[in-house]
Amino acid sequence: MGPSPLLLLVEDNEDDLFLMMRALKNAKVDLPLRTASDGQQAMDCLAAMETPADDSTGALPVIVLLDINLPQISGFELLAWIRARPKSPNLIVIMLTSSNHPMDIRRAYELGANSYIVKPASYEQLLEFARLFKAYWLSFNRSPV
Amino acid sequence: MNKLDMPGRHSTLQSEKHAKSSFIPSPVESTSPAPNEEKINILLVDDTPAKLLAHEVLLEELGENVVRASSGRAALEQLLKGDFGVILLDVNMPDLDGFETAALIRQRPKFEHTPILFITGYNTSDLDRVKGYDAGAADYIFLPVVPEVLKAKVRVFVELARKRKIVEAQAHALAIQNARQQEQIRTIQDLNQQLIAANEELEAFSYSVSHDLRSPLRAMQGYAQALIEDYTGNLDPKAEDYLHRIRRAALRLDALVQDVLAYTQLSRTETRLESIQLDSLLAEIIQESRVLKQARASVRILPPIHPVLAHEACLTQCMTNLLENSAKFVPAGRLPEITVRTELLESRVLVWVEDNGIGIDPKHHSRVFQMFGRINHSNHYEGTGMGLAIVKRVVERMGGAVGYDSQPGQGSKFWINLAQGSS
Repeated sequence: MGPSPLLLLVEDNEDDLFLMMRALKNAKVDLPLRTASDGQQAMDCLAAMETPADDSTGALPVIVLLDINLPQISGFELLAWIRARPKSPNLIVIMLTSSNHPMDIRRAYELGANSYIVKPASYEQLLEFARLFKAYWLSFNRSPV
Repeated sequence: MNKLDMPGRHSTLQSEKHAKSSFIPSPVESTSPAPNEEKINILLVDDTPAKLLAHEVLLEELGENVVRASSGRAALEQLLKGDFGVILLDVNMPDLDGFETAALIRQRPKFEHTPILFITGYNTSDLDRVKGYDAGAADYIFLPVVPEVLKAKVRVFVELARKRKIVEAQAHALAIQNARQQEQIRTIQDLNQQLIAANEELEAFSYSVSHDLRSPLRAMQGYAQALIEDYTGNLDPKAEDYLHRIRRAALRLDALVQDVLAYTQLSRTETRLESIQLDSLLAEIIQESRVLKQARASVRILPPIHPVLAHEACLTQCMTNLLENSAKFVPAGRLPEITVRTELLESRVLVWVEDNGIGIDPKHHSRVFQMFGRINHSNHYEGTGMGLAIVKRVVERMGGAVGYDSQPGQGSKFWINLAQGSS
């Protein structure tokens, strides 16, 4: 197992952010966590992590939970930006959005999303998602090192 | 109309005609045009007043309009004023003779093909010149005129002219009809465009409703949940109950938003039908349904389950709603028992979903498949009132029908009728 990844939550809705963080905490997802409430913040955060001063072991693995509907820079634009960068093989992007639109789903995968989740309606389901997220992405899934 | 005669002249001619016993009057029925048929104009050209009069009298018997001209020039003037089915030309006229007049007539596009009857003496050179005209559009009659021959020849041309007029009228009517149809097609295309635009707008609207309405609901529900979890024990039971109610109401509203969206989206999804193995579909639904699990419903599937012709997503939605509906409406303390079976009805399949629920009172019959057609008190039974409305819409989209058989207290038997699929 490599180093445990960093989790970046990109979400502009405070309520959704609060509930997501709560669900992750209750599901005992204890990863280093960053949050960004818009695309620019997320870009800054990712760019900062990508330039390790002198270390050649490469960047930390990162998992991004990404909303589509963000102010100024949309989740799609951010996703395209992420995938256009050369040094992000270890970057898993999971779309977490309220859109169930087939076009949005298709576009997300075309742009290189690893997964697409429609925000669950109830807190119980959100908690279930957090548990499954932990089991799947942090335990079963293998990423390139 | 085009007659040069004074009014009243006609009757004079008639009496004159009867005075001449040598004429054999033709039977009236065969000569008079039908009342709704327009009269055909006949142009009679002769410089000799006596011949003109005699021929006119003969032709009057045909029941058409006879217009006289006493010279080639007068004839050309008449042609400016109206349309003629046949022109009778005396060959031997001063100034412009018959052939010269005919040549001038032919120069006008309108009369290029109008039949011309030359009236001529028995004269070979004249005959040769007549033959110079195209066959069918010109003919000749020898002097002295034999009344029956004159009438017979003119009648043929008159009938031709009448037929042509009918064909022209029909062509005209067709053209008008065509133009009208083109107009209608344009209108339909316009409406179609509007409809497509409205549909796109509705789609955009329903997705933004989905996003914007559900987001605050998630927050309401989530914070209520957080309060319940974090402050259990610190709240009195009443406060806790209120929080549960807030949470449940938010969940209910969310389910409602989803159902309304599903309902509106159904009208837009394309439903291409294919053969579907209903038994495996049912097994999947039962496996996945949260509602069935929570209700601890037992679902019996009685073989044979015949394949149906349906749209998979639509059928899944429909069967899920029917099964969950059956699981929901049971009296307190009873576990839902649901039976699914199929029946072949010629080339159709009847799918039955039977339950041991509370049943439906016949007085509610008209509301069962309506939107928000809830017939039970919402405090006792959870639901949005959309489930069966969706079933009806879905089944009808797939060319099927839906119905039920139920008595209060004796359970309900819902059926849907779909085309048979291949196994």
